[in-house]
Amino acid sequence: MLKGVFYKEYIKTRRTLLWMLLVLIGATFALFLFVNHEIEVKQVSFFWFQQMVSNNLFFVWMLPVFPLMAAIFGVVQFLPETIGRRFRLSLFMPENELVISFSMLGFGLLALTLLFTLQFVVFAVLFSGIITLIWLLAAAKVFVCFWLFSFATYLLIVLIFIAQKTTYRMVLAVTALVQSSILFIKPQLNIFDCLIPYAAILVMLLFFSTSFFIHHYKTGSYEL
Amino acid sequence: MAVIDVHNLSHAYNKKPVLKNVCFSVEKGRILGIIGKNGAGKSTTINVLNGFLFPNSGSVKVFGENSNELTADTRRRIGVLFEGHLLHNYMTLKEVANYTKSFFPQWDDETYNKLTLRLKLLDKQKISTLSCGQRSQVALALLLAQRAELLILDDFSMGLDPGYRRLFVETLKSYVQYHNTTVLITSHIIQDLEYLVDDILLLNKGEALFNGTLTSFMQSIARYKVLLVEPQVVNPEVLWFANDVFQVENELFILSRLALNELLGAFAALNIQVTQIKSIPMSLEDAFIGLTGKF
Repeated sequence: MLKGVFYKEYIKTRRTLLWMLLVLIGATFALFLFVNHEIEVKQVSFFWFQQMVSNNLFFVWMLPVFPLMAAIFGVVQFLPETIGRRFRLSLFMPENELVISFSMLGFGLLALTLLFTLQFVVFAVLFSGIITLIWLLAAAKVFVCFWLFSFATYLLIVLIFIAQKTTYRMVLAVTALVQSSILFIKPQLNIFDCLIPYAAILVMLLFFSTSFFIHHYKTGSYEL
Repeated sequence: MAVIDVHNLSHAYNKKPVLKNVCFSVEKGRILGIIGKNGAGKSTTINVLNGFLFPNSGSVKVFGENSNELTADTRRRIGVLFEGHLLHNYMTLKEVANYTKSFFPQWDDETYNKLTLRLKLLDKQKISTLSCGQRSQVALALLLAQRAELLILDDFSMGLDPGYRRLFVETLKSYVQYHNTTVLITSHIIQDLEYLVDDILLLNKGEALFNGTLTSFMQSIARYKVLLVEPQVVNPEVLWFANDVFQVENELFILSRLALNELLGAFAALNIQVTQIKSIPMSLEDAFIGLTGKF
């Protein structure tokens, strides 16, 4: 049964996943070329000194790409389900509705995790000759934090699609906007220590509330 | 035990009642057609049966289980055709079959291939590129290949031309007769149902106006041709016994619950002189119009 749900989600999202992977890897290469250019111009020690003094991160510009991709992925996965109420087709399959909904969300989160992990592997390989292990771990922490916020964005987008009342959609859209304020935080390393647990709790809450909405879509708390 | 057992089903949208104490049941191997005008409560009944709507009151059981708490095993015994032949449009024919197959262990590849091949459709063809008629055949193929014991079809004729409608009905009819499948079906094209159903549930403004066999439904009303002695315009409102009246010169075509001899007496009582009254063949659609009116 799980195989069936994953198969359907894969068919829907395979092209999107491919170009997302290309964009992420392309962006990582662009970042690599930019850093190499900066090092050539400013010299290695000065470039890293500048990064330390500004308490800033050289990959800051590519961070918003993660939540953006998660949002697009949510749209690609759930828009076809809501057009013509096709979600009923998925939910009437002979399996527990919660299993179906958890599997659909699980597929989305797993696909995004794989995508982001691949990007990080490429990042780590490209920059291994330039940055120290401490810098790499610090970068990993920031990436993980943004991944978690991306997951939250993905779940919020799904919620907006499956919430059948305009009021709920409005509340969710405002929540999504508030949550996106993370993109405007100056990404200083020490901020992310406290943001990671917050983001993790947010993802958990959204995961269960999304499942609740999906469950009620089927059982008729909302009149179709 | 009945396959579907509905008792005192009532439902309202924003306090506006759409179903009022509806009762019916479907025995194994029977084909029940639900007919009614727009807004009569047909789709609401189907949504309740599928478990997509929680009724305000009443009990709705499918294979002995509450319709909104159907287990996966029970749902495996039910095939549903959603209104408008709803399918996952982004899939190809092969993909949609593989996807559906993974949920139904008793899946029958032969039935699916037979129905899709006769339309000369390719496995790689996307559902979104199919015509409405072709999509209806794919939806039917998916439904029949599931080998379900109960089929629920919501407005199967929607958007279909007469050819595809006939193909759909014939395929369905031969399948359910061979496999002794139970069917609950709704359609706005009532003549299709006449060929298909054993029983009729007539819904009118949320109430069950008739619930019985097709034969008894057809006997509940009759169509007459009344020849007037002289051309005169008859006010339909005075014909209290006529459910529907249509006049062409000195001929009256009426639908009435009265028997032929009772009708003669009724015309005599109204001082309308008639030369001849004869019963004429009537379709299910005529009977439907006769019982519910044109608007």
